[in-house]
Formats: sequence, C-alpha cells, structure tokens
Amino acid sequence: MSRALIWTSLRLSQWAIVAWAVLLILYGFLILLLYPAIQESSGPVLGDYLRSLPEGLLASMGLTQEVLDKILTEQGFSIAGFIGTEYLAWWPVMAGIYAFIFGSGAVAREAERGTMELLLSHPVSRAQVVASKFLAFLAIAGLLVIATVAGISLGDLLIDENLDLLRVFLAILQGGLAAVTIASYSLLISCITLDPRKAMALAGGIMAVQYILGLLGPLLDSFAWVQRLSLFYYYRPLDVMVQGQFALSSVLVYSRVSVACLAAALVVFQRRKAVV
Amino acid sequence: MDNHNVITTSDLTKYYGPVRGIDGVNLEVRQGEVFGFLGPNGAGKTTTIRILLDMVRPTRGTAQVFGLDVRRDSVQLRRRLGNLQGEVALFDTLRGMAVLNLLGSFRGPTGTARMAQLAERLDLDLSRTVRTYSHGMRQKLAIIQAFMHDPELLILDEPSSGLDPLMQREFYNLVLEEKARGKTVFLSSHILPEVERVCDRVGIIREGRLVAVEEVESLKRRKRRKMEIVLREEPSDAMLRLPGAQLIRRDGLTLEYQVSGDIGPLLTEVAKLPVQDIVFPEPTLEDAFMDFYQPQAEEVSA
Repeated sequence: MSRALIWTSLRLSQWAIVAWAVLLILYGFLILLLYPAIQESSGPVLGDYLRSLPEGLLASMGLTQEVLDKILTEQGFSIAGFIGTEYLAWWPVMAGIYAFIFGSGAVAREAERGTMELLLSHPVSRAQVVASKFLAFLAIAGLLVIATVAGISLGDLLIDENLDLLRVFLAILQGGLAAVTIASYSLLISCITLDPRKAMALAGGIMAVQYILGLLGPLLDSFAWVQRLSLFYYYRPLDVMVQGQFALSSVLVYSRVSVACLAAALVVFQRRKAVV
Repeated sequence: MDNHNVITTSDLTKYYGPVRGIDGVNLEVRQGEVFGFLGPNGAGKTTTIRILLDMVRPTRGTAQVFGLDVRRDSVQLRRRLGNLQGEVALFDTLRGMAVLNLLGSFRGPTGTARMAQLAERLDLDLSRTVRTYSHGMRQKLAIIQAFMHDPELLILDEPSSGLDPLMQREFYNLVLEEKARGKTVFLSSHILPEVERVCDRVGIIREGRLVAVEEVESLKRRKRRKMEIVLREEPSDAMLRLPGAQLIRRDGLTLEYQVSGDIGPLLTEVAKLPVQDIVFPEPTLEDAFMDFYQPQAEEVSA
C-alpha cells in the first residue's frame, strides 16, 4: 500500500477536512450549550409533545415509548437523550454528505483533472490508487469522529452535565462507519462512471433515497422492510446513549457493505479499458 | 524481445468504440536512441503512449517495454521510466517542491540534489504554488518530475510545448545528455525542427497507422529536393514546364519547384530562362514529413 498516495489524498483534501471537522465540532458544541436553556424553557412541553406522536413517526426518528421513558425526565430531556436526538441523529447525514462528495470525486476527479495520468506515470498500480482513496477516507472518518468527541467533551465541560463520553464515542463511531459505507459505494460509482458530476449526483441521490427509506419505512406498516435497505436504519445512537447497547450487527452490516463496495471498485477500476 | 529493443509493439490497435485510435502499430525502439514519434494532432501518438503506460488497454495487439508486458508488469516497468504527459496536469494546490517530493516518494528516497539541479537549469522556482505557475513553468515542473529519478527510458509527449526558445534549447541539451549517458528517449511531437535536432530515428504515424520508420538523415536524403528560381522577367507558360520538376508555388517572378530524378536535363532547360537567382534549399524533415501527408504536391496553375 502506498502511504504517499494516502497522504496525497489527505493533503489535497486538507481544507475540506478541516471545514467539516470544524462544522461538526461547532454544531455539537452549540447543541450542548443550548441544552440548559432548552431544558429550562420547554423541556416538559417537548416531552409531552413527543409522547403524543404516533409510534410510526417516533420510530422514524429512532424512538420508541420505551426509549422515551428513558430519555424523558420530569424536567424534559436527559442530556443523553437530547444529544442523541438533536445531534447524533444528524451526525451520519452531515458526515455522509462529505463522504459522498469525497467518494464520488476520489477517482473520477483525478481522471478529469489529468492528475490520474500523472499518478499512473509513476510506479503506482490502479488498485493502489483505489485502495488508497478508501484508506484516506477511513482516516478522515476517524479524524471526524475524534474531532466531534472532542467538541462534545469541551461543551460538556462548560455545562457540567457529566455526559458519558464513552457512549458518545461509540455512537459516533457507529456514525463514522455509516459514513465510510457511504464513501465506499460512492467510490464504486466513481470508478464505474469516471465522471465526477455524474458520480456525485448518483451517490448523493442514493444517500437521499436511503435516508427517505429510513424515515418512511416505520410509517408504512406493509413496507416496514424497506427501512432495512437504508444504511441509516443500522445507525442507533439512542441505543448506545440511553441503553448502552452498541450493536455489533450494525458494525457487521457497515463493514460488509464497505468491503463489498471496495472490492467491486477495485475490480471495476482494474478492468477499465481506459482510466484517463 | 530483441535485446536491443526497449519498446516493442506488435499489431497494436485501439478503437474507442467506432473511433480509431491506432491501428496495427508495429514499433521497435532501440536501446540508447532518441526516437521521434511524429504525427499531427489526433494521429494516435498519445494513444500509443497511454497504452505503453497501461492507462489505456489495446483493442488487440501487444506492447512490451524492457521486455515486460505493459499490462501485467506495468508497475515494475514504470519504476524504470520517466513520463511527461501531453497535457500537463499537476496538483495545483501544492508547491512545486511538494509535488516533486510527493511523486518522488512513490519510488522511495527522492534525489533532492537532482531535483534542485534540474530546477536551477530550467530556471524554475519550486517554492511557489503550482496554481501560480504559467503554462511554461508547469511544463518545466513536469519535465523535472520525468527526469528527476534518472530513468532508463523517457517517454515524452510533446515535451517542449509552452517553453520559450531558450528553455527549448536547454531541454534539447538535456535530452541529448541523457542519450549520451545511454538512456533511451521516446519523444512524440509534431514540431519537426525539434525532432530533427535531437532524434536518431523517427516513426511517422498517420491516421493511426505507422507509415514509416527511418533514420532522420536518410529520411531527409530521400526527400525530393526543392528548387527556387527568381526570374528577371515574366516567363511564358511553356517556359515554366521543366523536365523532372513540378511547379508547386508561384509568387510573381519567384517560382518554387519540386525536383526529382536526374538534375542534368533540368539545369539545361533552366539555363534557357531569364534567371536572376537560383537556390536549392537544404532539405528539411518537414519536407519529408509533408511527403507522407501530402503525397501529391498540389499543382499550381502557371
């Protein structure tokens, strides 16, 4: 594996990585700072409102009555419930947007700009190019997870709520794996189309459809199965935050899909008649 | 593979769907020579180079570099060659030095001394970001990355594009120095004086087919010569018809002929004309090249 290639990918994306990390940190930080004020102003009301929602709608937000019982107190949301619903639920969507932008452009943009030709003038195999793009995103996802946890830790210090940071880390780790999966299928699409705009439109479209499937599945009894087609279905931040359950099955799903997409991307790119 | 051939292709053919890239190219480039690959835009030069580097796979035929299969052993053979792509694309957000370090790192420890030496020779500031470089400066950086690891074979696609005349001369010197050190250079170009200056042999590609491979000198010798006559007065049409010569251009009293065969009868007839001046220009590669592209010299009505 070429470390130089991975480093190149990271170097060329450095400002985008910094921007997304700052965005995720700031969002988490601000949400935490808002917690005491929201709790004071509308905590009980928000709790009553949530309890009054239909089960299907609650399920589409990853909530059940049982979970609600655990995250709602007389004062409103517990800190774990608040972070789980107001921030962590959105994390894989925000990281996912960067994942599909990075993945879809990873190979196709190099080909379009002509830098693929430059890279392949040197002793670098096609497989190395694809694998290094994947590993680069793996590193980026790790960085985003760490940055987010750092931001939340800082916010928690300020509001002094004694948030269980291990649970926060595990929940975001699950989200990070979801983002890696999104980057993997985007990379596959990038290798198939070799057209960055087409690849981005397709990868973004697939992510949007998956998100909608995850939302609509629980609302439609006869189509409940479709939510299993959504990567977002396997992301359960509240299970981790509230019940301390880190589902290994989610890790398996994300890992299998990621590895399958990476393998397919390697084969497709290796067999392409032209890569420039 | 012949031990003396660095590049060998056999029936190398590439079609992009119905569009012809190259068709049945049989090429042999010998060790230690500078081989010019000549042809106009779209003739198939870049396609051939891309196949040699396994960026494009042929529709049929085979290609070997250093006796290695260009597809199966692509990484191994790229370790031994330096390539300059036709349309230079670099990492715009990086500094020149960072680009070279990065590309050098694919081959292990980078020869920074060689980098600095080449940059000084080509007068390139490596501390600047690539996006601030002019076209010529990008070309210089691309030349450095091709030469910096002292490769056995250089594959250069339109290498002097964007370089000013002084830098072009420096670049030619660089190529000739590499040749003197026993390196092989495969140079694609449509700039004939460039090829004439540095190449030992040329291959001429036309509409995807290799139509000739010859020594530069023999190609120039084979060329039908030109003769330019300046007359003192307007000649009659009958006077313009000369044995073994075809009028290809007339500009007032200046006539340009393409001459072939025995020159004796021609000079006898020319002597009968009111000639003020007569010149036989030195044959150039361009003349030879145009022969392949314009086999029939255009008739000029007298």
